[in-house]
Amino acid sequence: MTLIGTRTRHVDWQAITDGSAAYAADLHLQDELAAAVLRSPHPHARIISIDTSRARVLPGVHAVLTAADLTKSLYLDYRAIDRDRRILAEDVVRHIGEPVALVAANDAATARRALELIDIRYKRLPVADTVAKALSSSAPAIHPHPETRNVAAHVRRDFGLSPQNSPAPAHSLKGSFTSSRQTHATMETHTVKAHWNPAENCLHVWAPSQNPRLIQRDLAQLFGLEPASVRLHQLAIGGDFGGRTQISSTEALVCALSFATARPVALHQSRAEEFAFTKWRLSWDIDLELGCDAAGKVTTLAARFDVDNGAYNQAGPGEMVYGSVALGSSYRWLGYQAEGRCVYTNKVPASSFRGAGGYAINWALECAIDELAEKAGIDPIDFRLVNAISDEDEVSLTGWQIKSSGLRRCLEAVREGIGWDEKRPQGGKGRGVGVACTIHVTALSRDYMLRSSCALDIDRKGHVTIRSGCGDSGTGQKTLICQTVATILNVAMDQISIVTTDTLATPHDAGAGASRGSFVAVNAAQTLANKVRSDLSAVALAHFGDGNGEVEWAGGEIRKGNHVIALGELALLAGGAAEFYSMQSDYVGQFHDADPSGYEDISPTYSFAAHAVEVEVDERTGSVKVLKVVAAHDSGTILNPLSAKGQVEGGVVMGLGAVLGESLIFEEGRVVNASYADYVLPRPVDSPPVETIFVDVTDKKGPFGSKGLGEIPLITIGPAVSNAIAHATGLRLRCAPHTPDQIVMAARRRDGKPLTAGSIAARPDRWWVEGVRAAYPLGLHRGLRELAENLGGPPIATPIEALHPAETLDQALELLDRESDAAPIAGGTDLLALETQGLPLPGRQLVDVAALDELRGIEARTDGSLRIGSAVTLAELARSEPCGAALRRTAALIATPPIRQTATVGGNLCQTKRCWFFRNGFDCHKRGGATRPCYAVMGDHRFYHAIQDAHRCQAVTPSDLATTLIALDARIEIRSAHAMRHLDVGHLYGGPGETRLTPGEMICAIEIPCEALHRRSAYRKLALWQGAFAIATACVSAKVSDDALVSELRVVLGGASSVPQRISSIERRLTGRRPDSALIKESVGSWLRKTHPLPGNHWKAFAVADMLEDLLSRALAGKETA
Amino acid sequence: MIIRLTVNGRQHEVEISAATRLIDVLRDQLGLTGTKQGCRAGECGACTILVGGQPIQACITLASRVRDEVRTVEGLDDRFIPLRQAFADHGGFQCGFCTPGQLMRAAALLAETPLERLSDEAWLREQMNGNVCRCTGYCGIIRALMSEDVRALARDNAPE
Repeated sequence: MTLIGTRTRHVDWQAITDGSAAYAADLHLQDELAAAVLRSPHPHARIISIDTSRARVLPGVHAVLTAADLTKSLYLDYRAIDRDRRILAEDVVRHIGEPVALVAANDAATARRALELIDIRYKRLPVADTVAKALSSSAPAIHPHPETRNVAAHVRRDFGLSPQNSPAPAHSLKGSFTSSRQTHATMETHTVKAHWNPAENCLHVWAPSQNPRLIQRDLAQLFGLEPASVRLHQLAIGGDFGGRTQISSTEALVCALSFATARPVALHQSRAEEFAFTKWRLSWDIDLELGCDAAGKVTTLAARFDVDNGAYNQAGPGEMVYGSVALGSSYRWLGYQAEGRCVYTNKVPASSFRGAGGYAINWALECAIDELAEKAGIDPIDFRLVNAISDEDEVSLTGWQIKSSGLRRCLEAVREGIGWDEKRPQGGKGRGVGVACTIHVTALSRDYMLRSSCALDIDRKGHVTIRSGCGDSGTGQKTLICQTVATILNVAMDQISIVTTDTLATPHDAGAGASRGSFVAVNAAQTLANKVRSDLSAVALAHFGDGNGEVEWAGGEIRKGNHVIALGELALLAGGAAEFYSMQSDYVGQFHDADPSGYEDISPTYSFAAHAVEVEVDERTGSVKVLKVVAAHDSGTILNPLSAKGQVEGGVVMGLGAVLGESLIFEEGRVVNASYADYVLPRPVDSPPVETIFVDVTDKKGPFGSKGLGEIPLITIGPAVSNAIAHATGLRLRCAPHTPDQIVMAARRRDGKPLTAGSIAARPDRWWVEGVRAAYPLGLHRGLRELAENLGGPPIATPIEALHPAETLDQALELLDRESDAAPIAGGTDLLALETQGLPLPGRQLVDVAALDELRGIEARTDGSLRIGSAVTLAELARSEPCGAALRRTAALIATPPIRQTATVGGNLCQTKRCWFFRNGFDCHKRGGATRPCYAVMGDHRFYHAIQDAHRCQAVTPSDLATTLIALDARIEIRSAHAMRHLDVGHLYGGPGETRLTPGEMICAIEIPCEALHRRSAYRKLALWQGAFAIATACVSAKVSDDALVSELRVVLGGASSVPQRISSIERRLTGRRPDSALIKESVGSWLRKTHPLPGNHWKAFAVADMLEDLLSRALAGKETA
Repeated sequence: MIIRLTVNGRQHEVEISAATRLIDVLRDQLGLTGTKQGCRAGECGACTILVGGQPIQACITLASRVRDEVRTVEGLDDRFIPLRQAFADHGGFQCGFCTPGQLMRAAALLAETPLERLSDEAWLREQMNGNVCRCTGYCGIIRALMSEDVRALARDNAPE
């Protein structure tokens, strides 16, 4: 029975779902030491001196290493000619986070303490943290070696007709595109263990990777060992996506420490380190010029691009070279010319990411093609049907030869699936459909890529153990290999197990990469199983004494006529003295060396895809909702529809992230959004359903007719979304990701509306703030930063010291009064996050108040007012009828269900500011004191900073509840051991996320008066993903008479200034009136003029104004009651 | 201090400090490594477990505050085999690192949710919004939760 083409469960499903699958952090090696890494705090600096003597003598420390203690070898990384990276920085650091020194100690806390005892002096060097700066004439040389300053590699391509010899196109397009800076964000952070065992002459390594052999190879050459002396062990891999397919900067660190100590050493990166110090996707700036003739046939393509490499070469140069060819390989160009540079910048190195080399160029080209089709007046699907490389045996201008293609059928399938013919004529009204297509390689035709060996053993019970060098990071490759062997030997899947990644137990395979697994590794398994079948068939025939003809393999038995032998018995017979049967076979595909011109058939075969999406765009708030995705793929025969569908769905959603939200934000070379809260990746609510279609194609070359699939879904979806946004709005966005700020401002530009919101002219009282802001780029920022550096880093926060249980409120208040440095803890969701982020806690003597009866419960009082205990959880609040719809909705939109389950009303009001500079390690004004700059003034302040009334710090108060509670005239009951007082919520804050509570005081309850509960109230929130911290919140509450007269109006904004505020100018204008839309617009406009945004958040002021206008119109008319 | 914890039906005495988080007790002291650490800030849901039947994130829970019984993925009994199988049969995981957290979140939902809610995809997505998955695009997880076998499981365990 064939298992090929059947939905087969992942072979590891039991271990994955019962928690027994062992990832690196789940192993505990005997006598394991903990590693810690001292990293460069500077983007570019010379190391003047390092003194490790104090660290070395700290009890519990086993080794302290610097570059002087290590081999001078360079990493091999991707291409030997590009090598420039050492294990530890020697004399110069070139990016923030570059490893400088290492410690191994008994435990992680000791190791971290030892890091603080290393005395290191740097001299700062000029910084080139962007491509533009690195290419400028005054740029510092990041490396001494390149011929052209900071150009790590250069490529030039020239195929077909030159521009001079080509006919002038009837329609042409020029455009500049910038791709996003996506990062892998695997759920498992980099976790590596190593143990150098001199007795075995073996370096044992546990490093999750889909390509263990490349890591083995690099570690061997770095430390001067034979590859056989480096053993990578089998592990479960918590995601890869190209981020761990080559060596990172963690594996060698741990190995070096194990050499120094002869003990096992472990390194476990935090999530913040994972975001800040690991590879990210190479970002490309691409200029394209392309044209078509009057009939709509493409003519020529010219391209210039610069690739942001980061500070060292990893995949950058190689990917640029590949991309320079791939760009000219998808359409029937008459001529294609390109020139590109891979540019060093003072940032953590970028490297490979699922879709490597093809991602950015395909996004830019597919956006440009769509626009060109529009110019030519041709439907974008028809345009692609005419122009895309899609015929069997067709050869692209660059030499790619198509073995099989279902692209046309993919395009037709998405046309039907999305309802194109019906929806396409209706664009431009906020809803639209878009399409894109892709050709992608299935492995590269290179020696190292097209070799794969596979082995198997059959024991006396007929159990088959396959040994493959492949790495399965969740793609399902192990299952495909087992399916292949099970099919050919006709044994049940439960009679088969598979060992992978262990480099001692498995033969060579180049791992997962370039979508090669389903082609190369399955080919190897197929070759092996066929060989075993023919070998054992011969043994069986001899055993049967019937030397001719065929035997039948079924159900673990081999038969011919009346003869039968169990597979296990046959294995014994064939294995002889070994008592088991063993066989290995090698698959080697046809490969060749690269041609310098780039002209070659680069892959054994090519996959195709077309995606169509439908989006809804709100130009006023900038939000894009993806309503539907139809993904049609030609990946040849689908070996396992279950895992194949998963690859498409996962790739699509990851691609949606890259085009709509995901991008690392750097400020002076440091990652700003280094957390899941701040890095906008897709969550369940924002992810659409995906309809997957596999068109029926059988490839001539692929095993069972299959082709690659892992990368192409991620490459295809992005431009389809960009094109759908264009269809919905007419906006051609050429910089990804398309965040709300881009959309709001592009729409205003299109409509000729003003691009600046408030101005200093309307707020002359803020001349001083304006002056300080103006001084920032003129040297103030730099001066403050350098002063701060000379003064030393921010104070090191210390952890929780004690937790005091309290039985009664009085007891709790007494404890808060008595203990110095005391603070209440209820849900603790923000407090423990602060501790993880290394920020000061509200107190280290915690008093547990979560279960106090006096703080629990929501009480409707006889006077009609409401008393909400401060330890009521957000989930309880969201369910509470008496609180009214606006407050319920406010609570329901905060964070995620598990947070709401724990977080409390009091904690929400008191949480610390969420400014991403403050939270993610920047030594800012609020973290380090008055001598520090506010990083938001010059850094990325698009979403989470004030648009009005901010002074020295641009952060805002993050409590959404505060907005609504102010609108509801809520008062806070505050108690201490000695007194009780009441405070309006509006007076609670003295600064961003800073309350006016004094030591010993605690919020006990919130009281909402009866009248407020009977007003019309409605709430809105702007956020980057549902559950994210707010960009802004608004609540309107008013008494509206039957004849529409407005009184008792409260209009409150959160997230707009350092503290949530009533907008009295709007309240004044609308109170006592029967506001129509013109009056509402005028009143909101009066507020807007008095805002004082930073250069990058004018969009926010516009979006908030539009949100307010809409909310006021609907709420006062009774159309919106939540 | 020494605290008593009941985990998956077994009582343990463990020595901890005030700052010790539940995830570290489970993983390092009790060897229950099925609970994964993804962020240590309550932002990804990989460490979701049940305390007193309620889903909570072990990475932002102080161990000394835990009073009720703890259940981890290792303690999902045989009744939940259909849930685990549904994840396998509908593409509910790929790399598997977030899966224990997804399963525990789902187990809590099944215990507390009226059956008709389980066919409301938008509601399910909201409920699962605290659990990040980087591989599946969530499609397979939602399919698993909406599958007939999981509905049957919810029916059998419906609150009285």
